[in-house]
Amino acid sequence: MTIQLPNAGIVLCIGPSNSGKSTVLKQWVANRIISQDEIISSDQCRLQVSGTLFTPTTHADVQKQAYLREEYAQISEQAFHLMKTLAEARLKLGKLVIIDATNLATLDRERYRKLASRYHLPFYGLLFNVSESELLTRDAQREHARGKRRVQSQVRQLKSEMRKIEREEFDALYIVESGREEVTRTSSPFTLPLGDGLDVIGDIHGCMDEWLELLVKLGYQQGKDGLYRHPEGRKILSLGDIMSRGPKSLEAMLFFEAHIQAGLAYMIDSNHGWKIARWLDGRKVTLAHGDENVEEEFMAYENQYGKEKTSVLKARMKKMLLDAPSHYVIEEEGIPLAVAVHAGIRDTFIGRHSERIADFCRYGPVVGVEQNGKPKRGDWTIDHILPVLVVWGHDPRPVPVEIQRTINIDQGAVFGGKLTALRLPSKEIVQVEAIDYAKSTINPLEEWFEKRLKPPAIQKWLGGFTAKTERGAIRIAGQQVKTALDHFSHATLPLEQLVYLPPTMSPPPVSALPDYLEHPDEAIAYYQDLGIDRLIVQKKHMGSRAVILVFRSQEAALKWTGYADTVITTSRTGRDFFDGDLKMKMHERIHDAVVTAGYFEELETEWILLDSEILPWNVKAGELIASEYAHVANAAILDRASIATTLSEAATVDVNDWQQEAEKGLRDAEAFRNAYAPYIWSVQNDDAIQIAVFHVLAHQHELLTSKPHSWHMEQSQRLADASELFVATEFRLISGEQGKQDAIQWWHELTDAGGEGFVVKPLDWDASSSTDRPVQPAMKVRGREYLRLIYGMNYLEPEVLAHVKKRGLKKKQQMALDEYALGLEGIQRFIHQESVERIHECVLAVMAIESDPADPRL
Amino acid sequence: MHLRIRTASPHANVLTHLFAKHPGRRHERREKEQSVRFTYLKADENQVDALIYVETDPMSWTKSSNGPMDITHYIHDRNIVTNTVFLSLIRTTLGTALNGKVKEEWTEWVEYKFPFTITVGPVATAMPITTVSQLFESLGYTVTYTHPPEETVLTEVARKSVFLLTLEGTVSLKELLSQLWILLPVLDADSHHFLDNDQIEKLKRYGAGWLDTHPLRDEIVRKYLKFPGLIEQFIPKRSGGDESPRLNDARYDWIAEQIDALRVRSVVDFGAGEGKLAERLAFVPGVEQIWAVEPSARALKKAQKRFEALTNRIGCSVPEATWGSLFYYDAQWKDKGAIVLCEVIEHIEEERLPSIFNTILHDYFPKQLILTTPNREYNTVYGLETSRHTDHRFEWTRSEFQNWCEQMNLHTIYTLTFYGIGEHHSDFGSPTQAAIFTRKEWTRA
Repeated sequence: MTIQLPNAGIVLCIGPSNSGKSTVLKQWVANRIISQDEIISSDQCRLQVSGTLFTPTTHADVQKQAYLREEYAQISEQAFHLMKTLAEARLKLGKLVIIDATNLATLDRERYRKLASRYHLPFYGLLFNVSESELLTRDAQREHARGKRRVQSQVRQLKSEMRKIEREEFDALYIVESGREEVTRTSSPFTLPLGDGLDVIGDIHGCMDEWLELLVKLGYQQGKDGLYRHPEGRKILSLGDIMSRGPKSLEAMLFFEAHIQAGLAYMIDSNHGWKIARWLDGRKVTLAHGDENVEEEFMAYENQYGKEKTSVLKARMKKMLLDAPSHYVIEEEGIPLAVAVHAGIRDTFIGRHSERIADFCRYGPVVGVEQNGKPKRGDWTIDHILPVLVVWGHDPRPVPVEIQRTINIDQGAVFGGKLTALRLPSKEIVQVEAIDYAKSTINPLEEWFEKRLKPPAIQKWLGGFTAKTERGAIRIAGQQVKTALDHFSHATLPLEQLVYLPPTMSPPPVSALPDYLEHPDEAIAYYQDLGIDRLIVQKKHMGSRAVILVFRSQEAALKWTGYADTVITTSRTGRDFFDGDLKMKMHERIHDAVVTAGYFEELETEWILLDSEILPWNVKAGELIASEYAHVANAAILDRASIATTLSEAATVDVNDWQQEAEKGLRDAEAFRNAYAPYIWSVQNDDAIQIAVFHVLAHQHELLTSKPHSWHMEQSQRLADASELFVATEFRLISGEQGKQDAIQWWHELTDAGGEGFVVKPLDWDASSSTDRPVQPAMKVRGREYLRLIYGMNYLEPEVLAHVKKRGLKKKQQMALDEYALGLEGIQRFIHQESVERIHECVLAVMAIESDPADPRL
Repeated sequence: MHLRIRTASPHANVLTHLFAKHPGRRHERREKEQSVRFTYLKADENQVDALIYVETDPMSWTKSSNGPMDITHYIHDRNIVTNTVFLSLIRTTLGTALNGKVKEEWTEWVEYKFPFTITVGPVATAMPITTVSQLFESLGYTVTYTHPPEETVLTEVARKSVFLLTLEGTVSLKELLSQLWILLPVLDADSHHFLDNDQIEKLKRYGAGWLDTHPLRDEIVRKYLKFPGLIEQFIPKRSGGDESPRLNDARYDWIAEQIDALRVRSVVDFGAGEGKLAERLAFVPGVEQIWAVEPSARALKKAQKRFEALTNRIGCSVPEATWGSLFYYDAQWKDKGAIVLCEVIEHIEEERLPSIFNTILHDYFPKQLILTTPNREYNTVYGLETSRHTDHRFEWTRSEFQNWCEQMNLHTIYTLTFYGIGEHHSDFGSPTQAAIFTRKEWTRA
């Protein structure tokens, strides 16, 4: 008989003193089957806690004997405590522990069994059965003989416990007689070496046609034996649920049986697999949710091949399904790389086994009961912290997205979604489209669309949070979160309609010229110094920023946002840009323009996201302008003109210098008024409103930051061609010193004509790849006159200019970078059809950063 | 900011003594980093023309009355318009004229009435022009205005107007200045002057002899003193308005009665604002826990203060002011005794309500949901043609409200009962309508 020791868990030695436990274990250590640290010996622990190996318990003097017995009991208690603590520590770490003690008392064994069970690890017994005479002989030879009476008593105890031991729940119980039995160590049943690469496959559900198509797409080739092999030696790993619901369950099961046996594929346990296995085992189970299709296929098989063959087949399939482990830990060079599981797993379950774990892996956590009686599933992914990727399926998601080191690769093939393969270690996704075989009234892909619109859970954000973006993790402080949440609770459009808030933009470092605050020289030099030479400068429209999300149809809008609005125009803080009748008119015209431009057909998309400026300035900011800018200009002009005129009438005293000062003030006030005047025109007739697009940010399938800004300018022109509502954004492509000079020239032309200035950007969005320093995505250079609106009508007075030139940009630049990263991340999440909660995390983060008291004039 | 005072009349040159300013010199003094300038344009036997104005220091723009982090930090009218800042700057220069403590030989002229033409401004005010005229015409002045060139695009949305004011009237210099000292702050749209009991003292001093008989006396007092606590000392309190404060109390009383009758132990008051309802519910016997839930940090702070005052009060379960919003999900509101939405839903766009109510009724799953909202039918009784509050996104009739509630109860796991709060009108019902959703297993037979 071969004794197979597990790789982890408890191996409990059972046997009287002198039965050879320590000797046999020593032998196994010498043979390198086990290592010394795996043994926890009661003798060793007694020595450790009391300094003595042997405590005599008999004494002629009754009182002294009582004392010795009490001392013995106390030492035993502490030694056991130590053993248990040591054992528990090892179990927590998923290691093996061999308990070298007599373990003759039922209670002792039960304690260890519970301990192993608590950590979901196997519990083995090693029973040392040695005759009484042999024991007595050995005892006599010991340095501290236990004495005949104690040996005999232990032998009696073992005899009386024997029947109990046989009934106790050991995962395996071996009897050690000679001590020369063959011993091996099993490796973890959950470990799967990465080998030459694994292709992890989502729920196939009998979609064999799609599966074979995917196999070919993955590069597998069918051999003469009918088996599929990959030329690079890659293997297949199925996440289970290969059968049920779909058309070819039996074929799928046969495929995997053959490939698993040939060592070409692996499969893990799953809810449907488990159900079918029990049905194949002849248990009473109700076949539903597409399991009845499997029954039909077996009936058809029986009709064709007869009962006998069918029962052989059933036994084979049952074995395959029951052999499937609850999960696999995929290792590369002994280090876990990923965990493959059907429905979900807790970090503490990884690499372990119990009924509870098996159930969890099949169904995921059950947190309650839905109103329709179905179990309410919880979200286990939020508790996953271990730095290992968990690949799962079971609960279809429209897009395979990695979220907090978990990735769901069930894209609802049988529901007309996609069959997905995740290639390891590259994490490449390969998919094939599938037919809707299930035709289920409750389509989980559609259910997901409803579920994803649920209001975001708030608690995890209130005290501050970290948002993870492709460009790094961004920490948001709690106080700012609350300010932002207040804003979203009062002033904005529904959260479901908010996908993107535009990031703030930094101005350049202050100009070296004495009478300029901002100048293109510094902005262009900023990029050129970073080695970024291909730049674009775009005319800055003095209007109001607007993000426009346009849906193809009301159905599309409902699906993506839960509201039927086909056009959503938001201000930079997420407010509704238009209201009332104007909103209806504008939205109709915007929709017409996007349709006319042909985006929906060309891109096969249900939506498109535009970043724009809406003109004139007073459409959105009318009241601000009237009650701040125009008001101040009017007041100042009235005041200085009146003072200057009055002083000119002075007949008694010379106040010429006072008069000149008043006239200077008047000129400043008029310049101030002239600075905003060009941005204001009547919008009584809504034809007067214009939209200048400068980014086509994304559509259903893609974030368009992959395209250079020149492409975005073409789109701006395309929309302007499609509708009079849109105007193209003027721009120049520049590089080198000549480019810089041309840009400066153009900037002067623009600003001399009353323009706000321009924005400098690297031609490619992601210019940071060409340098190891973070790169500002854009820099605004505002005109000398325009800046009066920001810094006051007389900011060009030398002492005022010196004061405002002291501004620092560090914080503004960090904000710009963070908000930019968060903005794109939010859009990416929207594209991936992630939950509103995940999208809103980014939107909220941007708003929170914006509520940070940085200087808004920058 | 400037003030020009002219007169062409016999004895005009007395004014130079009343101003206590030498006619042959110009006067300049530094006040709070600004230049306060006074000069005569003319000063002879029969006419005096004086200008007092402030030449602002360029750097003064960098200091703002708005928060330091406002986009309009450098853009403000505080050192342009004739507000309290102006008055405090010229206070010393015009001190003698204002208090009438001239050299003894000129004392008799203090009360002497000159035919003045004065120009003052710019005045920035949110008051209608007709009111402005009435303010001065009631005192015997002729009023003319100098407006800035019209900007039609912007006047559509302007909240305040700005102009120079020219007044003609025969009045003593002291009285003229006293009247300006009260009326300029009253006119100012954004007056931020520091208010204390000293303000009452000033009002009495400068208002002596004209204010009490002014037809707009109450208006002037209110605008000048700003705070109810101060105003009460001049004008007795009175109640009024479309929704009397009593209706608010009636709602609170009604909700408290329901909470008591339903034997609710835990209450979540959503949109609790400053916590007035929660404070009222704190004294309902049997209530053990109350959360006043509100997204506004400022309101929460006020609620917190209110609740702190309740600690150690007998028979009171001190409410907890908690951050929360109906647009987000928070598991801590699950399974509470009652959720209360008192005058909350009408502030939310109707299309957003289904999602909110799905969360409340089917996720938070309270034993009771108590809901109040205006009854639009009753607006007729108030004589209102619009809604009761500009922030109301809708106001429902009783049948609209009841149908809507039925729709929200989509799994019919709640029993619905409807009520009216406030005086009942046979045709239009009560001003406030209410609904109680009771989870069916909690509905008493």
